[in-house]
Amino acid sequence: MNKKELSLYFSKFRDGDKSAFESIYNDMKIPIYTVALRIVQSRETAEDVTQEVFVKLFSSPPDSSVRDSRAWMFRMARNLSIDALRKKQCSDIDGMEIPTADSTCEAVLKMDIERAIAMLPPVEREIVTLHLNFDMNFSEIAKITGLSMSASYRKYSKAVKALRKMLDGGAL
Amino acid sequence: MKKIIVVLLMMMLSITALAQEQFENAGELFQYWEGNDAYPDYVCGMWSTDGGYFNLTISVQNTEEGNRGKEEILALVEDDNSITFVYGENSYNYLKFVQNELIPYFGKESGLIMSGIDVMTSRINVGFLEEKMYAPETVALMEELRGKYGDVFTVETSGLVYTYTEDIPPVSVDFIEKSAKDYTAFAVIGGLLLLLGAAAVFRKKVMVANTGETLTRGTPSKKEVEEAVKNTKIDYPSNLDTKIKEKIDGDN
Repeated sequence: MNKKELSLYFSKFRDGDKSAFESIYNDMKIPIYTVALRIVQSRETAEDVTQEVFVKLFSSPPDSSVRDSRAWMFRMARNLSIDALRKKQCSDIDGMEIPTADSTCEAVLKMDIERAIAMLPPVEREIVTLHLNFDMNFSEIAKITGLSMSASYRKYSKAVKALRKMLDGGAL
Repeated sequence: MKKIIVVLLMMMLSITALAQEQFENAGELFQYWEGNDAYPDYVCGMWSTDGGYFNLTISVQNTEEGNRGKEEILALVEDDNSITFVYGENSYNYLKFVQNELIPYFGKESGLIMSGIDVMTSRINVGFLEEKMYAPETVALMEELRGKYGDVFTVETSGLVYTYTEDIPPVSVDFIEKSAKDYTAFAVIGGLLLLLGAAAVFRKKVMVANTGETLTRGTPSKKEVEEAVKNTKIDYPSNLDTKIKEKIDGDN
């Protein structure tokens, strides 16, 4: 679903069309969960965050002055994830949950990348995820993170540099 | 023919762009904007001020946002002197959008065979087959396009003779350059790119595993890392849909 379509569903939902919520949910559930998981590094907490985002959305959708509803949702997911991180103090990567591994190289590679991402600071994990997994440009990311566009880009560059170092000699 | 601005030179350079910690000059800012499709909406265009890469002229809209944007741009770039500002009319992002919208109109039937963004005038130059140039249907088409997208088009009416061949489809040209000076620049930059490419290839260590498989080791490139992250998919918990539905139903 593109931005315009999503915005249309938000508009319908604001006007009382509850079925529009389902479309928004289906489109945004994986992005919201992914961003939350990348920030909090715990499946259980990411599930809680995702649930809270959609429950809040259902009870009080963004008003029509919100120009980018997708960014609004990511911002909410971010804030809730950071709150959860603070509460749990769970920045310890030893406790991180990684995708279930099977014996295939793909799974090993996936684990390598997830482990490497987990070693980045939360804000860099978030920026990398928004940019690479959800195609958001740095102007959009700046609106979500509250950082300036250049700061977002600098953090992204730093994160990719760090990932390259961490994956040095690895499966890539 | 009106001069259509060359951005190709800059794009070629942007391919070689390395991740930077900051924008030291306008050229780096250009790399970032171009590489990430991140032009702010108030920017109308960007071009070399002196034929080089580091000193660029940025055209911004003469609006509150555009004028605020000038300050933002200056704050992004260490070397303020590398930027010259001028005012333009139409947003470059909007022109790119319109340029894309023109694709279905191309063809022998309509006679539309060329379009290009002129960043200096912040307009889209369009060209028609000579025999269609002044035809009533061309006038009607331009009226339709102006009705849809606003007065952002300049029709090329002189200095060019277009011919249509079946095997070479009409193209949308963003970048046209004719001067010998710039061809020289392309040659120099092309050579530089080759050297950089070769350096990148030889920097990698290649190993052959006992299975016969070739393994490339060493620091993965920025692109490889980006691709790897992009291809990583997170599994959505199967029970979460139900949990959320129950929570919402319970709250209401």
